[in-house]
Amino acid sequence: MTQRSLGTHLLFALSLAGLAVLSGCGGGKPAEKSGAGKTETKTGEAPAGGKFTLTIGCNLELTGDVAPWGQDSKKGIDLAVEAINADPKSPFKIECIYEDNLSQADASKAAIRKLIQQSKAQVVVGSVGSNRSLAAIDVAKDERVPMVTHASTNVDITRKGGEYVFRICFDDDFQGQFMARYALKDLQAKTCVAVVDKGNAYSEGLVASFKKEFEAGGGKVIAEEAYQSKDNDFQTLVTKLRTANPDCVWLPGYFPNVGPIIKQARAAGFQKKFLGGDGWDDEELYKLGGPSIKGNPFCNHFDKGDTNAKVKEFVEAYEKKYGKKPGAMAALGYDVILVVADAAKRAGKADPEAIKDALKTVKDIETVCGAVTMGADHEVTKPAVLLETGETDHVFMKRQ
Amino acid sequence: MTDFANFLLNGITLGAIYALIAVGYTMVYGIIKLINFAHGEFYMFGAFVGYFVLTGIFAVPPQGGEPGYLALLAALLAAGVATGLLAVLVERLCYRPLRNAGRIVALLSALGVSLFFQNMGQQAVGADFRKFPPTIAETRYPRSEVPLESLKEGQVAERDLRLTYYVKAEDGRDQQRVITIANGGEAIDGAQLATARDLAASSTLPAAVHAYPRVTVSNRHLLIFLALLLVSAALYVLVMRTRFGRAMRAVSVDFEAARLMGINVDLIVSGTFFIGAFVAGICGVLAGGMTFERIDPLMGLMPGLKAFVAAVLGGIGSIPGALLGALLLGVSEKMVEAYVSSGLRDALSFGILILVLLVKPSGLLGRFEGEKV
Repeated sequence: MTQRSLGTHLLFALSLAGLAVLSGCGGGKPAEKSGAGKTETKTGEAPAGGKFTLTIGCNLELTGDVAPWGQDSKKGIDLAVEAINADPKSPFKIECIYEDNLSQADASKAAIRKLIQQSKAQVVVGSVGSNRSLAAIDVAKDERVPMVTHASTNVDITRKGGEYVFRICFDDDFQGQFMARYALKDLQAKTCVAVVDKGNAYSEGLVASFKKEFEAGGGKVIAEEAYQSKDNDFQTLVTKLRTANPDCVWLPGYFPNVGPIIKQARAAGFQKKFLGGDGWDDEELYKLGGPSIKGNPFCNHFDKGDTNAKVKEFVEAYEKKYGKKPGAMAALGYDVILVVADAAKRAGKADPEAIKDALKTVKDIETVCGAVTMGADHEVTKPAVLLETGETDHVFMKRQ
Repeated sequence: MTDFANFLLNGITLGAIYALIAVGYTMVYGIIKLINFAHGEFYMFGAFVGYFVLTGIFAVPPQGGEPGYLALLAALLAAGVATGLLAVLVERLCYRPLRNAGRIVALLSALGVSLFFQNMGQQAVGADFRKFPPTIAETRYPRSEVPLESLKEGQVAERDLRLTYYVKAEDGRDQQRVITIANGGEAIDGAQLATARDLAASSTLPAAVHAYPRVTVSNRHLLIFLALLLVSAALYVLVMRTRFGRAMRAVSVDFEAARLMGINVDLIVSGTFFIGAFVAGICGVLAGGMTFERIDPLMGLMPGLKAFVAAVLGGIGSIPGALLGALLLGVSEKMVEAYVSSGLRDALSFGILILVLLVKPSGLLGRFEGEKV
């Protein structure tokens, strides 16, 4: 074999491998059904006389990197659907159809298209992650079906989503500002290093909004570092953090990375506080981070330790059904069904256009995460809770 | 300067991991001229075997379980042997029937095997990552012991001072924990010192304060280096000093002639697959599992491709070349991550690959092979 042909052969081999990488990420899971169908067969009721059926499509991360969030959202959604379908006064039966987006943006696009075109959903709920929701907004626009994200916080989702895209949680600007004010006032921090999950719209949005607020308040972001979500080894990052020695570190990533980063930082002697957003909220964080993760504050939508009456009622019902306490994703999943159901009730029919118009005028709906009123920008104004990591779970600090 | 030393050390560690995977790639290529793209999946398979041995047989909880070196050795052996046998099976079923069908056909089969394991893995154990048990308590070197009583509030620490203490874990075993009392150059904080004294007093095994320099190496990384040294030495002896090795070299020079000389080439090929996969399986436990602590069915993809790049850089088919290529690649990646951007790290690796193929396809230590007729 000549030199040239060896090179050609190896290049060919590599391009084939590239192809394999791409195709390895494809494929979805068949849709799962729950809600009306199941409930009816269970209770043996006749098909709802006089009631119309509302088909809600759920585009969620049921497998993949952030599957725990998608699964928790599903549990919250199922609980709310069950409650509404059991209510004789409800003018409709809800049928929920789930489509797994594998925690991948392109699969999310395919999932929402399938929900609308094949399953004929009149309204779509999801996704959890901003990348997946951003991928889905064009489909909602083109198909003229309202999409309500319960947990994606990137600001562009509603700004670029136009007429048909709504959000029922607070956005990145809010979280970044909230934590920047906390760093300045409560921690008295003057300097900060921001660490971004490169290519993750959520993380990039939170870094931008935190930086703006922190520097407006007199602080300084002395360095911005980056990692990739597939990384496992954060030694380089940790070395840089130790040398920069800031008062605190802004780390708005997802728990699969946050746990190892904090663990490796503590092992290398970096002692300053890490601050985060709702991406930290999962039990896995404590498994990955171990006991050294203790003592780092983050903000969230909801906390099971909250003393609010609506929250207590929800936590009890959830625990009864699933045998464990709900996280924020379950609460938001529950809430999004309450909001959609309110809109459908006022619309009076299972029609995407009518539901879209009714969603715009959602006003003072009592949800688990606080009262919800939809603004003209398709955003809601809500309170946030401040939590702090403990050794095996987070502790409630305050709600404001 | 200390930062640079740290980055260099990180690079060498990463390089050692790539090297352990790359030797298998390069050996198989040397013998039957097949680029076994499923090799990264052997690394993944080894990590999962180790995981099930530790959590199943040793009943270690994934978080915080540190059963020690004996359990680690058992997990390593099980992972190596199981992965080696899997590789022999894969070769028998998927590559041997195609041996005379042309190299592209065999390559496509290898890609198919790789995809098969990725997707079957996701079906069998789920697509979500799992936490791998730490297995051994992490210790960093060099370190020297300092008596806790000698530390005073306000005193400036010359080196990083950390307290190692123990608590009873849920499973009843003593779990090691470490807290920093002060970093080098900082004054010792009174409250932190008081906390350290309390923790030392409540420790279930004797606690100790150690002083560390800024550049340290973890015992897990030392294990990876040790594995690499042992593997290199063993391979040298095997290839250069044994009958099996002489037969391997003969097969790599001319497959058919070796067969005519009475060498059992099928046995040599199976043996080569076994050895390469054995090493990859061990690496899966040491690196993918114990050091990074997160495993999933797609974990072999990137390290596999990187090891392929390392093997090509060093000269595919050459074992010393794979080691050199892997170390160079590891250090370059960490330097780019440290001084340029982590986003460019993978671009660098594959850029190196394309450059090598265009400029010197035989790699750094590869031999020029004349056209075979």
